This record gives sequence, structure tokens and C-alpha cells, in this order.
Amino acid sequence: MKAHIANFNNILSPLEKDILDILWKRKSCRVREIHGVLKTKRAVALSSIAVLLDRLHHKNIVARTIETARGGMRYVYSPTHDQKGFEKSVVENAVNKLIERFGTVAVTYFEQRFNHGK
Amino acid sequence: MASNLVIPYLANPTHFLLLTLSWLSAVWCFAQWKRTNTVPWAYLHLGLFLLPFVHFATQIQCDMEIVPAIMIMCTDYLTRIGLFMLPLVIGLTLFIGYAIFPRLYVFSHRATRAANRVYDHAAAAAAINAPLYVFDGQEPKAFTIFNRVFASVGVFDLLTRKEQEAVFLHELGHIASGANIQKLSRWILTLFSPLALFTSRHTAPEEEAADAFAARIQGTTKHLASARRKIRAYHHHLQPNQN
Repeated sequence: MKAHIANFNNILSPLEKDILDILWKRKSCRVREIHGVLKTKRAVALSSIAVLLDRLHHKNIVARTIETARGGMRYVYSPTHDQKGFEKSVVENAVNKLIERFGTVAVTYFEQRFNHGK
Repeated sequence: MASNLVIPYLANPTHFLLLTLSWLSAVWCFAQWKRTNTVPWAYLHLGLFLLPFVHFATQIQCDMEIVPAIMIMCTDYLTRIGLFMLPLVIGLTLFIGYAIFPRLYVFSHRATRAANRVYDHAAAAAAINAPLYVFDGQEPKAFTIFNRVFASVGVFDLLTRKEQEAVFLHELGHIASGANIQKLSRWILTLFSPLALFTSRHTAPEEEAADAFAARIQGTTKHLASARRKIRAYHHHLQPNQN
């Protein structure tokens, strides 16, 4: 059932979306693991995935922990929200920005919109 | 007011001779430092350059026509400050540079001392005893602050073991050549000597020497080259619209 398919094109790049899809599916992954999955679908560099994961981490979309292994240290990335939670946070963010920017105008608009919807 | 103090001082032939000889010697020491890259010449240059200033400070007498506020200071404080200025300031700068700065880096980067097999192997091969500090960061980055090697988690995450070893050997090469001491000396000269304008900030020879050090121990340049390619690729992907 595809009742709701979120379109993240304006929020995430296609590669970021692919990375998040893998993380949502696997819960936690290393950079090399994500690269291993993605390189079978498209030509993508390990460094490119690392840069994007770092960006997603700074946007608080993914969290990371340091794991110490035989070869040294490495990051293990995991999504901060599941897919539904992420969609909700995107909507919340957008609504907050509208209210912040337009104040009562935005609030009145939402009120009218919801009342019409009823 | 400055001319009231300086002109009488320079009118004395002994003082003038001291100034000329000091500065000429300072220029010669500077040239020696540039030629040999031996750090003591840099500090000797600095000492000789500042010597006339210190001497000038000791010669200030209260009967000179100077403002009352300085007259109160001149006999006691100004002379003492002048006398102790050179060793104190340079000593303090060296202390900050050698002792405080590396600790500040550890603190600001939230780096932790780490034991790592690849690094230990590289340090043993280079016969250099320098601790490794690892800091949080996906970008593969490594540098040295005096006898400490700093590396981001990204170095381990994105580079192969041989590439990591090459990067560590490159950094250990900087320690072996004393590049950090040279850098600090250049920085101190920039603060205190006008001749620092003629020092090169070009770090290419230092980098080449560190590369050669790594290549000599590894017996090849290919690992360092591929590590550099990966680091460059990372920076390339950092540009907007690259993903």
C-alpha cells in the first residue's frame, strides 16, 4: 500500500536519499558498507558517501559513534529518526519556518485551511 | 617626544656604533638562517636586532625632557622592562609555542591519545617516539604539532592501512626534519623582526621532504599518492553541487 510517498527532492539529494534508505533498512552502517551497497547500483566514490554522511550528521539527520576495530577507528552511522519520524520532522520544520517568517498570517492561514478541510 | 629621546641617544658615537654593529650582525645571522635553516641563527638574529632597543631602554635618564608620567616610571620600571623584555618575551613565546599550543590543540580538537597498530608500526619504522592523538572528524586530516601527531577518524575510515601508514610517515617526517620548530621560529620572527618580511611562507620544500621521508621508509610513493588522491576527492566532494 503506497498511501503516502514522501518527496524529499527539495530536502535531500538523490544520493542522500539512497544513503538514508540503506540506513533506515539496516539501522546502522559503516561508510564502507553503504559504499558497498551503493556501488552496485551506480558509480559512486567512497569519499562522496563520507562527505554526505558528514553533512547529514551535521544536520542531525544521522548520528554517529566511533567504533574501535583492528584497523583503527571508524564511524558507525545510524538514522536519528525512522522514515516516518523523519517525514514528520521535515513537516514540523517547514511549518515552524512559515510561522517564524509570516507569524499570525501563517497561523490564520492554517486555521482557515483546517476549518475548510473539516 | 620620541625624537627627544632617540636623537640624544644616537648622538653618542658609542651608541650609534652599537646600533650599527648589532643590526649588521642581525642581518648576517638572518642570512645564515636562510642559508643553513639552522634555528639558533634565527634567535641570534632576533637577539641582535633587539639589543639596541634594550640598551636604549637602559640609557633613558630621568633628566631627559619627557612627560612626568614616564619620568616616574623611567628609572625603575622602564629600565627593568627594557632589560628583561628580550629574554622574557621570547621565552614566553617559546613556552606558549612549545608547551601551551600543543595542549591547546588537544583540548580544542577534543583529541584523545590513541594506540594504533598501523601508527605504531610507522613510528617504529621511522624510529620516532611521538604520541598519536585522534580527533572527531570525517574529513581525512592529519598534522603534527611539535612531537604529537594528530589524525581524524576519517583517516582510518577512508584510507587503507598502507595509505594510513604513508600519511603517518609523512607526518613523522615533519617531526624528523624539525619543520614545526622552523615554523615556530618563523612565526616568532614575524612578530619581532622586520626582516621576517623576507622569509618564505612557502611550505612546498617541507612537504616534499616529508614525502621523501615516507617514500624512503615505505619503499614506494604509490600509497602516499593514492592517500592524497582520496583526500583531494573528499575536498572535491565538499564543493557545493558535487553530490
